[in-house]
Amino acid sequence: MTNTPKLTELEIDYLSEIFNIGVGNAASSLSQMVNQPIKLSVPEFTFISAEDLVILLGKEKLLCSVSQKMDGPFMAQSLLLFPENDSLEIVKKMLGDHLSDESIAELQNEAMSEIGNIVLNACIGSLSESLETNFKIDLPEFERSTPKNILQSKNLNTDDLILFIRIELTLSESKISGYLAFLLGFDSFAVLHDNLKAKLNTLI
Amino acid sequence: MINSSLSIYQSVAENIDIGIIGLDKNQHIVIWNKWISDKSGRTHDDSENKRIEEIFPELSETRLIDAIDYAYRYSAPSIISNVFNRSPLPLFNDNAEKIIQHINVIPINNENEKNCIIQITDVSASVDREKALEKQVKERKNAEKELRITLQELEKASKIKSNFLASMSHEVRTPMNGIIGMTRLLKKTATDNKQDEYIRIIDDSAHSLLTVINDILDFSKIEAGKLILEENIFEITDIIEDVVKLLQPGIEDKKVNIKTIYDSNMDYSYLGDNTRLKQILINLLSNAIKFTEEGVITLSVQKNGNDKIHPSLRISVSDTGIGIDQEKLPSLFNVFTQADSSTTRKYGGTGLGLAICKKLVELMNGTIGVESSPGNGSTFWFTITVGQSSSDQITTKTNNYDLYEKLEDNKFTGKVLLVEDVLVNQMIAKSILKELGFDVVIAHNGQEALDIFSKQPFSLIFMDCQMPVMDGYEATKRIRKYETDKRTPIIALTALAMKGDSQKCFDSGMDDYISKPYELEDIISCVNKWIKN
Amino acid sequence: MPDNKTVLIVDDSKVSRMMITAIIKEKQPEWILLESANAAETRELAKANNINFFSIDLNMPGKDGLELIDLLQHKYTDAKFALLTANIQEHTHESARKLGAICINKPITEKSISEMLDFFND
Repeated sequence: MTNTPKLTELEIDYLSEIFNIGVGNAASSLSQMVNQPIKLSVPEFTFISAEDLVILLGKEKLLCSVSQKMDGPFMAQSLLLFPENDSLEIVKKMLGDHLSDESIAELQNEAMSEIGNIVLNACIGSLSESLETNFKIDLPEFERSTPKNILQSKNLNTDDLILFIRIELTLSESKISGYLAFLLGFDSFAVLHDNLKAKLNTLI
Repeated sequence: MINSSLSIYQSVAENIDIGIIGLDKNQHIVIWNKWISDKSGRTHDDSENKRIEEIFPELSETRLIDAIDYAYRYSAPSIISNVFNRSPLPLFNDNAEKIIQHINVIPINNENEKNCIIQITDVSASVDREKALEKQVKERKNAEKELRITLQELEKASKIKSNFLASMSHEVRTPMNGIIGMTRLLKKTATDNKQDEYIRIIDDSAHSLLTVINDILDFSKIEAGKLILEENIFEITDIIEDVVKLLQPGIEDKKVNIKTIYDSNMDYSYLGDNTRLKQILINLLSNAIKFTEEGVITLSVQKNGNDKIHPSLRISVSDTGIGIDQEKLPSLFNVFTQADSSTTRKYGGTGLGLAICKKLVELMNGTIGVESSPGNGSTFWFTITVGQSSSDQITTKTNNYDLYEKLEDNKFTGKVLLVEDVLVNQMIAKSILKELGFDVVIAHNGQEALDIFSKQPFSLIFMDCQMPVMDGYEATKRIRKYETDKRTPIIALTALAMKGDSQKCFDSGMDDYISKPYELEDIISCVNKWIKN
Repeated sequence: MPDNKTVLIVDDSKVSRMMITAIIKEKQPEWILLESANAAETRELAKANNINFFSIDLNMPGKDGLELIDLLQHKYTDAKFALLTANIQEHTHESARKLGAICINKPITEKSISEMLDFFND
């Protein structure tokens, strides 16, 4: 079972808000890009272990993953995950439904990379802004595989924590669920936590 | 040294086949390589030290500008793919066509100074490939759609054809049944020779007409792919004998002999459609008889090859008749062809016979052919593939011609329920059954049949299939439900027009069927089979 | 400004409310600040108090910010409304504008809240 770190209600609230702003900005960008109303929200988040994550997402399920490494006061890998057919649907809807499924599959890699890039940049940007820190961010990497393989390729350690966020994308009357995952080393989490506490202290 | 290494990089930047724009800490252009100059029509000097929005004001509030903003604010790299952004920058190739671009915006931190590189790749070629793929996919999908529509229409047409065949078959066979049956009854009431002769002519005509009708319906059925071959055990010798006996009257006033020859090395018992085989032989033999005034007609049956599991037979009908012109031979088996129109007038026939033979032979995985020349007679031959029948499956064959003898000796007793709505058909069937010695009770439809059946037992039930109020299938189903220990044989009287009709009879609980129009022999052999006397 | 205005800050995030409150307290110390976390609470407080200015978050569970503004506007015709959102899509702006509200961009900063206050004080 995951060793869920203790965050106070206020800390949870703050973190939620940071991601809400992040995905909100991402939604604006995406919407502007394809000229369609797009909504993104963060209904829930939690801390989870890699094993539990694999179980949650389904061992054999095919996911599309876009990941960006971030390095600053702490190091982390940010991921945007969608089940494969949902990912195809998103691309299809954003491109306007007139392309065949075969063509969509061809474009999926590139399209998802861009979408992931926009969402992850916005979230990391929001974190940067709120915590008043800076990160060096890498170009996005796309992968289509099972949760196990995806996490394995990120070289997680057993005591690493995953900040796991479920996001909901609303686009042309479809609601699609995806996930953001921030893979944090134990130290990284501590630094993040400290930053959160510090920021909140200025408000109280 | 620094200069030379710098100039290597500069050379690279200038000659590379990618656009490179470099921005300094104030977002001013400091690198503007040759590729970009060429494609944008703006030189390095025109662009140096300006912001991108200054050079391209139309780009404000676009993805590219946002991406540059993110690069400076958060050190975040961006990819701007052609999937969602075709041509963010106004760049053109040599043919003045807009270049489709893939752009990477990459923040660079140089000694705590924020810079940015914008890297632009021309992906027009891959986009063309994507378009071609999409076109292919669309064409394939259209073709599939059209194929589906065509198939649907074909199915519809086929259904219409089937329904037509079914109703035609039934509509035509019923009055034929009436004519033939009634003629038979009339014969019994004939009081003088003249009436006898007239009746004989009517009977012959009716049978001729029936042959023609059956030919046409058969042919249509085969064309529509609705003819199915049966699988019965038969003795080839019996079939040949039956056919010869049937057509014997045709050579009575001719100086013609019919010989039959069998391969000494062959089995006689096989599995196949004996009725259709008979049909082919009747056709060929009657042709031979028609066109031969004197001499010999030889029917020969031989083994064709050594396959034990799917034995093949070669059967030929040779005659010493008038023969056929060489040039007429190729088209003989075509529809509606006879040797010439004079033969039609002299010898009659529809011209369908040989075409039907060919189709039937082909359905039996065989071939058919002819050798002939004028004055030297003709040999019609065909091969068919049949099935093996194991010797212990042989059942005693009922030779219908012996039945007449049986009839005289053994009359039957018992009650028979005749379920038939058409008056003419009722009369015919009733008279035949009475002749055989039965007590006949008549029901006009399925419902009546049920009511009557519930009140008295019967040795046998003849059930017409098409009736108003309740049809034969339904009535049979209900009778079977009603029965407890004793099972009364139910024989279907059916026009048997369509594939699956006989199966429908069995499925509803019937034991056997007689197809209309039926003859006395049909009823007799059926009764023999199902009544244990 | 001499008059004591009452501001109702509507946001499901406590931290956001804290941040907005802190900034307004700094800039308009004499104003009365009320908070609510959702639409229901908002309507209760609006009924019980004379609210001059509403600061409403777009993204809330249940009725979202725009729907809430639409509702309140009809009842409280003199009040001014600000819609706070990270989502700056054109059609969101349009909708806010149609309701006579200002659209303020999140994250919550001194700058964005000042913008809101300027709108209120106009």
